[in-house]
Amino acid sequence: MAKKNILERINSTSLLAIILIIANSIYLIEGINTAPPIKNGELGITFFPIVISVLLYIAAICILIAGIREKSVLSFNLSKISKPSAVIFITFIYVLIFKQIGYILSSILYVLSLMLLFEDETGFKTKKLLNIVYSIIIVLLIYLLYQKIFGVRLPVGEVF
Amino acid sequence: MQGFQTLFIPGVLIYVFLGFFIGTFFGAIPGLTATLAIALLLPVTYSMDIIKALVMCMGIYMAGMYAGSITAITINIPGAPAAIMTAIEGNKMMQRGQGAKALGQAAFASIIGGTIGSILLMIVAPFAVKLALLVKTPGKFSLILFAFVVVILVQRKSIAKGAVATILGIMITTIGIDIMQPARRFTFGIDFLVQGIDLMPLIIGTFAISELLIQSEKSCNEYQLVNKEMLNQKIRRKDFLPSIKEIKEIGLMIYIKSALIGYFVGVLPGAGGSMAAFISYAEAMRSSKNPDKFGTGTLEGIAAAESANNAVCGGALVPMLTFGIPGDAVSAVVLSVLIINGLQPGPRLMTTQFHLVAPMFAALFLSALIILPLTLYMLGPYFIKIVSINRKILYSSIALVAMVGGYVSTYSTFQMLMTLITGIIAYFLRKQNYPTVSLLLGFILGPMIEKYFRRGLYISEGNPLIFLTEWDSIVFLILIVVFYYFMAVRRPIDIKEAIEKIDLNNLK
Repeated sequence: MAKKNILERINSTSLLAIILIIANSIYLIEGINTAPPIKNGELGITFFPIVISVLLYIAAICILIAGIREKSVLSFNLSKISKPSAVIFITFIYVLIFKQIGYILSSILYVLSLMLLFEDETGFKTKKLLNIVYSIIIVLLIYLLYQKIFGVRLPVGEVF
Repeated sequence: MQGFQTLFIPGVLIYVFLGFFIGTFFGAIPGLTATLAIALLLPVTYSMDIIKALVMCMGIYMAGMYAGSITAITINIPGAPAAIMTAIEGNKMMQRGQGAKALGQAAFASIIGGTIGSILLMIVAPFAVKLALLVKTPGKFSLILFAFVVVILVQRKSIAKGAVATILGIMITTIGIDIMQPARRFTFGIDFLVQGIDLMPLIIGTFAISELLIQSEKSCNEYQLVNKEMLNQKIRRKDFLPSIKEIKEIGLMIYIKSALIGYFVGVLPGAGGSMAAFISYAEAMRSSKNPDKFGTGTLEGIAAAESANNAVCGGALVPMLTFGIPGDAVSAVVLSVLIINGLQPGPRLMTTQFHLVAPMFAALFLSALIILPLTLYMLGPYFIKIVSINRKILYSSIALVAMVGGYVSTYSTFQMLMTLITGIIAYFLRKQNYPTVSLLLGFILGPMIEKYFRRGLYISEGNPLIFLTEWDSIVFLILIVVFYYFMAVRRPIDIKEAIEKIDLNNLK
């Protein structure tokens, strides 16, 4: 299993550096497409961004080189990435439904799912009810805090 | 002086206390920081009287710096990075049964450091303002450039990563509408992006959401072990006060010297509590009568570190208020509080609107000198219980407050989404040890540096040499070279040796 080609030697440092380089290129292309950096001897709106984009390339390449020189290899641990991914997914859904079904309902669901995710004790059925109670309390507390004390209006739900 | 008058209006005073409690809470729990606390409160400050908001932030600031030492000493997990040295020395003492002494020392040192820091702040501020008035546009550009260079070089370990984080921060702020002309930039054809990404979602995402994601990875087992240990500690109220003999042994000079170090490190952009604690710790070790004792649990080490990190609070506010350049992460977020509420830091703020800012100084002083000892005495033994809060409730609440906060800034779910996305980006960056302070400074100072750059060129009618001919700009450019020399070329070797020594002593 000791393949020596470059691809095998990519570790997380280099991977992130590569992603940065790709993102930077997208940025740069967008910048050049928007407006030329120098027009008629005058600096355009894309001059500064392009300059810093170039600087980013230099920095990212340094990291990439350092990453390749490192001995460690990418260890893709699926279990480790599962929880954060779940959080991201849940939060994304939350954003989508937030305005549609209103603050209270969506937040209760959000908090509930997060609590279940962070749950660390075993003993299922009895705990479930407690979680629901907690979520409702937290959501209502925050609601009161924002709505009454700070005067912020939270959405009531367009679907209703 | 007028600040004190404003402060003692009961309505305002409550907020300092409130801020202090919040700061203690966030500072004590590992993973939560004072920066996070203020970041979460950002949306709230919108609808709050600005003086109350600022004063509360000061309470949080001072408390956060101190509170990290609590868990650092008791369970060897620093509540905040600034308490790492305290953890090394303090925990060893804890294991010997002298935990209370360590806690008391930490508190005492924090009180002195914080007080000195805030006094220095009050003294230095007027001079700094006069200085700030002398700096014009080309100088402002070079000043911010200097700030960026400092922030990046101060990272020592990976300058490239610091640079990347800073530049990323700047880049993100270029999305939207150009700062000087009505033209859209970097919208990638997505209409939503025309509004750009608001500062609040950026900050909340960077600190709150990324923390959430990092925490979700950790197994609950670690946390529970920690909890069990915590509940076994019993500490009495009296134990918190260090004896006069101990103080004499350490010598008043250590406190004062560390406070000064802390203050000046605070003034440097981007360098904050942890750097201050570290430098003063190394310095204390170097000039100590028994340097070998460091690493085995000495009060000297704790005194140096804690005095320094609380002095940072005063120091970091100087450049932040007079130039708009934050001295550390917390002051950076406080800067956002000012910006979001429409206040522009700088000479004008300090002169015509000083009445808004003066209570801040008073609050800082008060937190250090009075509130700290007060809460310590009354609630000391209960501090430890803070950490055993139920993790799932804690983090789901934080998530809720964070996401709602992201919405509240512009009443737009798009910005909510941006909060999430910024959080994801920050999460990956943090996992790879990219400094978040640099990212934060990139967000805040990015638009400014571009603005001064272009304005400078506009004034000189396109001649880039203006940055080399105007003397205010030259001053900072020279400072950049000087700083680069000291940091990158002439590496502080003693500090490196110090780290290695401590690591050897601290083998678990």
